[in-house]
Amino acid sequence: MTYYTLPFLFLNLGGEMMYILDQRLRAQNIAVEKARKVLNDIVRIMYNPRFMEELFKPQEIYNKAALKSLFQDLAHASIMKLNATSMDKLYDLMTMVFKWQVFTVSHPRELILVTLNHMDSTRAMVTDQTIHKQLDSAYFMFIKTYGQMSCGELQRVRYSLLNFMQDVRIRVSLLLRQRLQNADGSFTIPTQFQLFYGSEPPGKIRTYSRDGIPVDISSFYPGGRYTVSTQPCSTELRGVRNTTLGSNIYSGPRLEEEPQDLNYGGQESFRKEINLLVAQLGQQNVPVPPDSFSLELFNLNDSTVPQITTTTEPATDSLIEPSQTTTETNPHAETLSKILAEMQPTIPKDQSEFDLLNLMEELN
Amino acid sequence: MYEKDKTLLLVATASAIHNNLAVKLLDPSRVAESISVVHGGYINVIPLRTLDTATSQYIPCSSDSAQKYAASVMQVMWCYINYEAVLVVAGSVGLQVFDCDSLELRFSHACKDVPDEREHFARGLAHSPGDYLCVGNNSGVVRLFGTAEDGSLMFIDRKQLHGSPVADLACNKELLASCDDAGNIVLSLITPEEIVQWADISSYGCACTSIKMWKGVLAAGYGSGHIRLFSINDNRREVSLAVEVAAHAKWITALDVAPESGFILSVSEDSFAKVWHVTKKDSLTVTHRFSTQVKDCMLVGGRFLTLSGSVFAVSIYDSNLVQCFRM
Repeated sequence: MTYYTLPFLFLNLGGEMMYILDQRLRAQNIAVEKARKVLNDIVRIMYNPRFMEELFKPQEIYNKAALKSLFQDLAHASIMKLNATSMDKLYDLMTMVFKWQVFTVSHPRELILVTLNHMDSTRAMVTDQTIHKQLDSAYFMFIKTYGQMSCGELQRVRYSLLNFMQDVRIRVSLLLRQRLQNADGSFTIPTQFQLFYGSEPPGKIRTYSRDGIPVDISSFYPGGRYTVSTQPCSTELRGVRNTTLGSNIYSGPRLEEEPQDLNYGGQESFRKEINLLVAQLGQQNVPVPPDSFSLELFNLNDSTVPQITTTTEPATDSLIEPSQTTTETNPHAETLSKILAEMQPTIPKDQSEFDLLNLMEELN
Repeated sequence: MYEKDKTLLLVATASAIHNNLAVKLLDPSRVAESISVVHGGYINVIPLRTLDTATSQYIPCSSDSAQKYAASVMQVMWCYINYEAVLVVAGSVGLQVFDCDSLELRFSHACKDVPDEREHFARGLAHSPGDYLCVGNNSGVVRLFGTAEDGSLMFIDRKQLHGSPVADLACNKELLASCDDAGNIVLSLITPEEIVQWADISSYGCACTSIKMWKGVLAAGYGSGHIRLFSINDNRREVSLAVEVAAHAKWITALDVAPESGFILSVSEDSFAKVWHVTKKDSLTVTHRFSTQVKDCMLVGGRFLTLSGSVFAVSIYDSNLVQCFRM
């Protein structure tokens, strides 16, 4: 596995998580102040400078379970709580949309732009200037690490990401509806699309003489209609990315207004996934599937009440010791240390590869 | 020209790596006996001949359970070493040579040129007559192994031929071609003592993923979707670009040559498998002969299953199916 895969994984999955949370907070008319606090809190911790420093050190790719628990802790970094089922849904959705993006890029370098799209959108979601500074420094670390990589190296990173998400084939209604995903969970490959700036579309055979002079040129039908982007893509801090991959796919028409009779291969669960999230985020009038659960959302007044709502909740949550983690003067420190407390039980004691988690533990 | 033939079922899905389909096509056979496709640190081996009693195998590249989880295989090759058929594996463990039937580990070498904490893998395998084995790695180094008097493998030479990770190797008699992630190609001679570099083809700006050599022709597949054919003049030690094909819309992941007919197979992430015909009169010419879309499949491996090129197979990222096509 490539040693430079983790930053891509974390920044992009993090970006996807922000899209979903932002969309759900809006769709349910959560008070602007509360929604803003949730987004700010999560992004602040996601882009914690010491965490970033550790993230960008060359290292083996994360253990899958550890990565998920990291995002679980991030999602709970603020005043919003998700239970195990909704967290699973959230993580599945993040992973599949990112897998689709990595799968679909027409050139390995586009992967950088996908990540920058995620970071740009995250920046637009938060209002706090200190978080903007955190995002800036993360941007510079990212460009320093990947800006000069050859396309061959980036392709290895891309393959490493694809292999990390290999065999994950969850159907996402949003992708299915746009015919970007097939009923078996695989993604579609279009035969009409725009190639990356600087590419040559297929269709020509050029023959050269021994002296290197072109002597013949012939054409063949390439099997599709390919055009080439006429605009270069910018990796500048505020540049034009010139790709839509990595931008917010949830910002279109509101999902709960979509017709309910769409049939995705007879599996209702996929149609429900977004609505389930809606329900879990606390909206009252959305029909809740019978197998769902209650969620204590925006539980501002009593942060010491255990957030366990179902028996399937990870046991780790019960290990939170509120007395240790409450710092009333600094809500950031409070949420951060809460994350750290939650993380501790997930660290396998005998493995040194979880340096990142260990660091978070040290911060405690 | 070709029609869809049988579909082979793998034990586990194909990983995203270049050249992720190897064939066992050893003298005097003219038809492949088996194919192999990599899944992470495992190798799916599927027998092709229905009369054979051989069954599908799923081979870990390491018996160490901790390594087994983290290890990844980059390339697989079958060849004869000391008159015995062996399965040669390159990957994060380095070079490994297994007995074909018993899967007993015959030889291994780390092929490592970086400190322990750095990323490391071997990639690029080629076999040259006289039982020479060539192996590349991510440090751009190519190693040469030969057989000792007792028939066992031994290290002969290592040369820093590339500045980027080696992507693929090809041998034709004593001539060795190696390509890398930056798109450079190096031609070298294999002698009993060492590897001697004699020519190089500088990069066209994109990674070179797969190379093949036959009859004084070097065929190279590039990430930019191009196939380039170079003529090699052994005597004058010259190499020149003869044909350039803008072949695919996305990354070319594998290339193969059918030596008896001069067919070239190229497969790509763009879901197309294409067959080209190379003729050599005064100069090299290439014609487009066949194209098929394997719908919505990111192809990661493709090989002819016969020396004549009458059958070929492609492997697909994230799928446990291998699709065959027959003339």
